[in-house]
This record gives sequence, structure tokens and C-alpha cells, in this order.
Amino acid sequence: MGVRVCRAWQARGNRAMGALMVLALNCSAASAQGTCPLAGALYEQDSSGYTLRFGPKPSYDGASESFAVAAPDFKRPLTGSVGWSDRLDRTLGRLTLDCPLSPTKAELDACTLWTGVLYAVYADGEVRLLPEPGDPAPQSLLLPDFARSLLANSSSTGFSTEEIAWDAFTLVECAS
Amino acid sequence: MKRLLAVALLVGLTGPALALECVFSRAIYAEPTLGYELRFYPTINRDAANVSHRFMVVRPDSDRNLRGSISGNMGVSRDTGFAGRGCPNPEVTGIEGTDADWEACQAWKGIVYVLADGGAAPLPWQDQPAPQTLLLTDFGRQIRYSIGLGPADAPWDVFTLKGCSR
Repeated sequence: MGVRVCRAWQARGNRAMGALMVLALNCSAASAQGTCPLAGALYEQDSSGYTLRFGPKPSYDGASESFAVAAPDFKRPLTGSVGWSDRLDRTLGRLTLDCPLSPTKAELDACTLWTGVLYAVYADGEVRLLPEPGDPAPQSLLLPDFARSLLANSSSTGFSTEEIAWDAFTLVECAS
Repeated sequence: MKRLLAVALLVGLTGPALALECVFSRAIYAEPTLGYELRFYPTINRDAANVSHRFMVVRPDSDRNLRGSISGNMGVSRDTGFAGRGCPNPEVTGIEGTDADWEACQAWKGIVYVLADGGAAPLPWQDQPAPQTLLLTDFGRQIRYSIGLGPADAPWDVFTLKGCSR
């Protein structure tokens, strides 16, 4: 994981040095409207009752953000973490259940229900990478292939559900 | 006269980008940072039954397009997109190619969503009106590595409707 930069800009492309101006503008705009920070924000799916809440701090070293996903018919929450891709060009999410402490790569794969690029979708339709915990919470979060992946990996991880989920979550509540 | 008025209203409501009603299978999308294009074209009878859409990825500063297709849309499966170069062309040659062939020619594979109303939705069929914005998940990063591009030449993952081919 590398140094965090303003992701709003990263998502908009990074071709020209002149784009640094855009970086500055976007970052200041983001902090000015920040009434609801991502940390602590609650998201849900109308259609399924699944919820997703961002935690105040990472769940383990190396992750930059943490979240939890709860299914309406399964008691224990799934553990989510977010980190940068190797070359720092995408925010990658991972959702696990009952991983051992300090898992090996094989162990981590075996306890993973979903992994993929985690996208933030804003009210104006703009799509960016996931912002930092203190940045304004986007209107919705998209976890590509989340629902299908959950079903495909449920038996191997011990997760059990009858709820058919969708891949996007909508912001419903800020941290109190 | 009534028809003229209706057309004028339609143009006024949808704005210049959508002034022409564009069927999805003729839509042209552009990626805003570098100008990558997706050019959709109709599927053919010989396509596999689960292929729902076809498109070309037109790259700026390159003569070589990537061939793309979208498949799935059964049960809980998602609209899965694929783009590659030098892939087997079974609908023309009759040769399916091995899994290794397809893996070797893959430039991108991911889920395709329509972005609308601040959320994400599945794709319409190819004979329906073209949606305004598409998200090809992880497109830029995979293209960057599969084609071997520098960080500044990697496109973003969102494409917006730009026009319509005839």
C-alpha cells in the first residue's frame, strides 16, 4: 500500500502534468461539502436488506479502510477491507468470513467471498475510486459481481443465505 | 405539425447528445480521459447463444482494435464483458479455440453495468435504446497491463454515449 493521494483526481485520469490543477480543485471541493464522512457511513440494499457499514479504522495492517457487510438472514457480519492495487491505480475491496489471523495467501483465498475493484458512485453520476475515510460518503458503492460471487463462494466459506443480493449499496445514514 | 412539435420537444428534453434515438447495438461510447471508444454492432446468428452484445474497442494512436463481447444475463449471472486481440473467431472460421487460446488473447474481462440515477443497473438488450453511461469494471487497469501501457496511457473505466453508427 502506498501513500494515499486524492482519489477523486486519480479516477479522472492522470495524463498531463496540467491535471495537477484539477487535483487541487477536486480535493478542496470534496472537503468543503463533507457533511457525512465515509467512516461510519451506513449503506443498504432496498431489494435485499443487506447492509454495509464503513469502520473507523482498518481491520489489519496493510489495509487502508475497513467495512462490514451484514446479510439479513446470517448472524455474523462479513469482514471487508480496502487496499490499493500493486501499482496504486485502483482501490481493491475484499470481503471475508472467519479468516485465520495472519492468513497465508491460500488461506486468504479460501475464506474470501468477494474481491474486486470498489467504486464510488456520486449523485451527479460521477464514478471514482473509493475516497478516504474522512472524505464525503458517496451516494452509492458498487462492488462488481458481489452477489454472484457471494453465492458461488458461500459453501466453501461457511456463509449461508437465502437472500438474493445486488451489487450496489445506497447511502442511508451517517455516523452519529 | 404535431409531429414536428413532438420531435422538437424530444430534442429539447434529451439534449444534443441524445437528440437521435440510438439503438444499443449501434451506439458509440467514448472514455473521457484518453478517448478510447466502444463501438457496438449487432450480434449475428452464428454467435453463441449467450452472447448478448458485440463491440470493438477503438484505441487512440493505434491501428489495432480489440474485439469485444458481452454475455450472460441468465439467473443471477451478470453481464460479463470480454475484449481481446488475436482471439479465435469461431463464428467465421468454425474453430472454437482452446481455453489457453482465449486466455492468451484476453485484454480485459469484467462486469458491465449501466450507471443511472446515482446507482448501477444491468444492461438493456441490444435492440433497446442505448444507455447514457457504461461502467466496464477494472477496464483501464487490465488494459494497461495486457497491452503494456504506461500509467499515463491507461484509460478510466467509465464510457459515455457519444454517437450512433448507421
